[in-house]
Amino acid sequence: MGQSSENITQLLLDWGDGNKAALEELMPLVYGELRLIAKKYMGEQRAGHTLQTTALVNEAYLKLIDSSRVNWQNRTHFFAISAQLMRRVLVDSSRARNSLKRGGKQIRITFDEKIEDVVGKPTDLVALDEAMQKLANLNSRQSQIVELRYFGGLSEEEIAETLDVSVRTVRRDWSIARAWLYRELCEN
Amino acid sequence: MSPERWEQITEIYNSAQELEENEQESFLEKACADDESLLYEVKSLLTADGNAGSFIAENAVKDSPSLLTLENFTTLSGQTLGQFQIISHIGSGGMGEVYLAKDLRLNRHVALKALPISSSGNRIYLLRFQTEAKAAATLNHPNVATIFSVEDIDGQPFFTMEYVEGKTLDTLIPEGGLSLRVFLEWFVDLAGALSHAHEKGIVHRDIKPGNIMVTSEGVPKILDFGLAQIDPKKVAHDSSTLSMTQPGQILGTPSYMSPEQAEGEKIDNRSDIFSFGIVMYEAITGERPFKGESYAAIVSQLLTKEPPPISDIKPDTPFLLSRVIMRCLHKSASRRFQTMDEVRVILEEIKAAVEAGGEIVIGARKLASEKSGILQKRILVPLFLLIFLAAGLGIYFYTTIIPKPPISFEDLTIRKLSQTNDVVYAHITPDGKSVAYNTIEDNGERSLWIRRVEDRNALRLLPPQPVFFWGGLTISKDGSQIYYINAERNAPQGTLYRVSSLGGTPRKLVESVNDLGSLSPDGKRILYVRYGEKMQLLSANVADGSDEREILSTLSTSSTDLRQIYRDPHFSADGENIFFIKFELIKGEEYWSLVEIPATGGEERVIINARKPKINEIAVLKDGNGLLLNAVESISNLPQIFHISIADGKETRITNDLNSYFGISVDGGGDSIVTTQRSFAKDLAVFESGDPGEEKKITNEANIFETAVFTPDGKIVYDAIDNNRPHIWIMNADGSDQHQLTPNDSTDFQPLVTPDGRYIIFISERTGERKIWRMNIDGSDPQNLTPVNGRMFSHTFLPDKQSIFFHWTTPEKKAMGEVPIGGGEIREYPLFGDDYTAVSPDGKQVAFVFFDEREKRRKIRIHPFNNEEPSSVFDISPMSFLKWTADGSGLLYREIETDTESNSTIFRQSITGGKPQIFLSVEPNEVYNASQSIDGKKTVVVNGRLIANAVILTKINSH
Repeated sequence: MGQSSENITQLLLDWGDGNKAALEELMPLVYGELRLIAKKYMGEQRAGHTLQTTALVNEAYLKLIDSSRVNWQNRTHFFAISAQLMRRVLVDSSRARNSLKRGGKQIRITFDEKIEDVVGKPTDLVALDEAMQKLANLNSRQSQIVELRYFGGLSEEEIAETLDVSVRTVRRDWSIARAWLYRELCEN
Repeated sequence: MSPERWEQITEIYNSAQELEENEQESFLEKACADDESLLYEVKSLLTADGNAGSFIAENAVKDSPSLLTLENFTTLSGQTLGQFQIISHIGSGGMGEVYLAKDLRLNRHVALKALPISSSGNRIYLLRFQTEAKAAATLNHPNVATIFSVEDIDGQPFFTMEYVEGKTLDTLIPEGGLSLRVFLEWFVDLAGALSHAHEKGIVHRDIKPGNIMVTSEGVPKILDFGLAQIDPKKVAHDSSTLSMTQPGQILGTPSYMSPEQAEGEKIDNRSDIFSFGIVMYEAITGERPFKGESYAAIVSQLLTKEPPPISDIKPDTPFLLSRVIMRCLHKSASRRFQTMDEVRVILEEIKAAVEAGGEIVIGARKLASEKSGILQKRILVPLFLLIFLAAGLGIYFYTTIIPKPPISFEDLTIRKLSQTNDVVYAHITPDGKSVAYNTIEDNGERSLWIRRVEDRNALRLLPPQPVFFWGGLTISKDGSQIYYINAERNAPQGTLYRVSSLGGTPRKLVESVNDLGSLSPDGKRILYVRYGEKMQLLSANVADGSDEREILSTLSTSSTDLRQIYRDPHFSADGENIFFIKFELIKGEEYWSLVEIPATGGEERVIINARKPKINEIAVLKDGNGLLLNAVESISNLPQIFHISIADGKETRITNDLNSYFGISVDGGGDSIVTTQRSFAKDLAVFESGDPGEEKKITNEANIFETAVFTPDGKIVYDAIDNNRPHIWIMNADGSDQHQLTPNDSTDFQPLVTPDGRYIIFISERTGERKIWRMNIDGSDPQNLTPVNGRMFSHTFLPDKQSIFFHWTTPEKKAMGEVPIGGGEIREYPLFGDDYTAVSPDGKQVAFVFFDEREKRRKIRIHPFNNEEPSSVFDISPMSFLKWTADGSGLLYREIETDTESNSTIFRQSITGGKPQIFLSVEPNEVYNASQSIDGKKTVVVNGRLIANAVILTKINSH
C-alpha cells in the first residue's frame, strides 16, 4: 500500500472523527477509483451479467483503504461516501445522455444501449435524483436511506449502523421514501 | 409541504403499514380526522407502495450498468460546437475525451479535447482543465502536439490541438522492442520535446506510450499534457490551481508512474524523467520494467524492486544506453538525471556514435561471431557530463564498445608464487611464463627478482638498496627487459631504469620521473608521468630514453601541491590510445577517474568516473576484452581486483576477500593475472602500565581483524577472522577461555563495550550494509540500532548521553549520527572531520582527524561538545587508530607512516599540549590498534606484520 492508501485511510478516519473537510478531499479520490473499477467490470462482464454495487464498492474499498486501521464503522462511512458518489456518477451520466436525446440531435445507438435492452428499462435517474432532493427537504434521513440502499448497495443492517438508527426505522423510512418517490416519478 | 407536515404523514403511514389491509381504512379516517389532504397523502402513498413493484428495489448499477461505462461524451459525435464540427470520438486522455473535429473556419482537422459536461460544474475539474490548456498552449515544439485554442461554447469547455495522424507508441513496439536505430531516431526527439516543456516549467505527469504518437512520416509527438502541473517558480499562476493536482494521482496509469507519484508526494520534472525511463525501457526491450496483476502489485514493484537489467532481456543494447535508462529509473529522484536536457544530450551522443558506425550493431552477441578488424566505435561523453556524474552518483560509463564476448572470470584459481611474505610489486611477463617482483627487507631495503612461474628458484636482478620502486614494473613483450623507477626516501622524483631479465648492470633511461606506465604495442615507446612544475604524461624511446614527448600536461601543480595526478598510463591494445588514472582533489573531495586520450595527445575522454573511491592500477587486456583494475570499492573496503568488460560493460569483482591486493598485471593472452596479495597477521598483546618491558603476548595466530577492548571487569572483547569473515569474541585478559559471540554466517567487527559492561556495540553487515548493532555482553539479543539508509563507521560511545556517536555516509550525504544505546530515533549532525572520531571518557570532548587545507596535512582537532571552550589542534596524523587514554588526559595513536620504526610505536599526545611521547613499542611488529582498561593500568595492543606474497590467478583448465 502506497501513501495514497495511507492518505485515504487517514481522511476516512478524520471524517469519522467529525472533520468535514476530510470528506471534501476524500470524494474525488473515491470517485476516480469507482469509475476505474466500473470500467474494468464492464470490460469483463458483457451483456447478461449483472453488476452489483456492493462488489464495486467493495473493490474500491479494498484498494483504497488500509483495512487494518479502520473499524467496521469507518467502513460504513466509506460505503456511505461511495453511495453518494455513485449517485453522482450515475445521475451525471444519465443527465448527459438525456440532454442529448431531448435536444433531438443525431442519436447514435451505442453498444451500451443494447445492453440496456437486455436488462430492462432503466429508471430515470435524473428524475429520481431531483425527487430525492425534494424528499431530503422533507426528511433528509429518508432520502439518505434511499441513497445508501439504491446507489450504495448497502443492506438494511449496514444502513442502520451507518445512520445509527434501528433496522426497523430503516425499513419504515425506506417504505415511505420509496412510495413517495414512486409517486413523484409517476406524476411527472 | 413542511417537514412537520411530512412527519405527520410519515407517522400515520407507518402505523397504517403495520395494520392488516381491512383495518387500514378505519384507522386512517380516525387518524386523519377531518384533514382531507392528509388522508389523501397517506392513501396515495400506500397505493404507490403497492404499485411500486421492482422500483428501485435492486440497486442503481444493476438497473443501469451502461451509465457507468458510457463515456459521457461519445455522444458529442455529430454535434457542432461553434466552428468545430465533431466527426468522431478518437480516444480518452487526461480528464477528458478526445474527438476528431473539423475547424470549419480554417478548413482543417483538429483534435478536440472536451471536459465532461457532467463534471464541468465541478470547480476542481474546470480549474484543472483550464490549467492544462494554458500550460500546453505555451509549448511550441515539433515533437509536441500543438495547442490551437481554448474554447467554451454552449457551456462545453474544450480545447483544440493539432490532429496527429499516426499510431500511438504502444501499438508500435514489437515483441523484443524497437530496433536501436528507430529507438534513437524517436527518443532523441522525444527527449528534446520533454526537455522543452520542462524548461517552460511544465511537467507532463502522464508520460506513457499511449500519449506518444508517431506520424506516418515517422515524427514522434508527445500528446496530451493532460495532467500538466505548472511549476510555480517558473510560471506565474493562480495559486488556487496548485493544490488541485492531488486528486489526479490515483487516476494515473500506475505502470508509468514515478515512485513519488505513486506515493502521492510532490512531484517535479524528475518524475517525468522516471516515466520517460520506463517508456524507453519498454520501447527498447519490449517489456515493462514494473509488471503486476493489479494496481497494488505494480505500485509495490515500482516502490521496492529494481527492474531486470536490460542486458538480460536484450543483450545487444549498448551499455551506455542501458545505463542512461537505468539512471532515469532510480527510485530516488535526486539520483536520476536532474534535467531532461542531460538525457537528450547523451541520447544524441549515442545516436551519433551508432550512426558513425554504419551498419554496425553494437553489443556482444551479434559481434561475437565476427572475427577481427572490426571497427571500434567510441561513444564520446562530454567531460562536463561525467564530472556531473562523478559527484557521487555511482554511475560509470564505458565509452568503448569493442566487439568481443566478455571473458569469464568465474572458476579462477589463486596460487601463491612466493612464501617470503615480503613482496611489494609483482608483474607477469607478456608470455605468461615468468614473474618479476621486488621485495622489502626488514631494514626497509628493496631488491628485484625474477622467477619462472613453474619454477621455485628465483634470480635476484638487483641487490637490496635503500630505494623505493615507484609505479610497479614494466616488462618488454619478449620478457627480456624490465623497466622500473628507483627513488630515494623523501626524494621528490625518481629515475627510470632498464635492466635485463638475465641480470647485469641497469641502464638509466630518464631522470625526474614519478610514475611508470606501459610500453607501446610495437615495443618502441615507454610511458611515464612526471610531477614537476606541471603534471606531465610523457613517452620516450625505450632503448635509451631519448625523444621525450609530452602527451598531456596540467599547469599549476607542483610536486607538493598535487591537486591533479596522472597515474599508471597504459597503451590500448591497438596502441592508438592511452588509458590512465586521473586523481583530482576538488574542494577537498577526491575524485578518481579512468581517462582515455589519443596516443598522440588530444582531447581527454573520461571512461569511468569515480565509482570506486580509489583506482590504484590498471592493466589492459590485449585482446580487447577490457581492463583489469586494482581498485577500492568503498572507503572502508580493501583494494581488490576487478574486471571491466567493454563488450557489455559488466563489472566483475575478481577477488572478494579480506586480503588486500597491490598492483595488477596480466599476460598477453589474458589467461593469468599476477598481483600481490597482502594480509596482516595480527595478534594481541597486553602491556602493564604502558611499560614496554611488561609485554605479554596473549594470542598466537589468532588472526585478529582490527579491534580489541577491555570490559570493565577486565576481560577482552575482540574481533578475529575465521573462514574469511570477522566475528566478535570474548576472552580473559591472559588469553584463556576464548569464545565466539557472533554467528559464523555474519560479518561482525569493531566491538566497543559500554562502560557499564552491559552491551557490546559493533559494526555488522548482517543487513548488507554496515550498520551499528548492539548485543548483550554474552552475545545475546543482537539489535540493529541504525536500520536506516547509509553506511556507519567509526562509532564511539557518549557516556553522559548513553548514546552512540558515529559516521554516517549515504550516497547523498556524509554526516554524523547519534542513536541512544536503547535504540530509537537517530539524530543527525554535520560531519566532524574525516575519520577516527573518538569521544573522551567523560563524554565532553571529541577528537577527530581533519585535513588542514592551508598546510595540506592531516591533523587532529579536539572539539568540546559544549562549544564553550575553543577547540584545539594538534599537528599529528594518526593512522590505524586514535584512542583516548583511560583518564582522558591524552590521545594514543600510531603516526602515519614516516619510517618503519614509527610503525611499531604507539605515541601519546597530551591534550594540554607539548610534543607527542612514545607510549610503547611492539618492535619489530607493526601496531594496528590499542585500547586501555578502565583503570588505565593495562593496554591491549593489536599488533603483527604484513604478509605480502605474489599470487597468480589462473582460469581452471587453462594450464
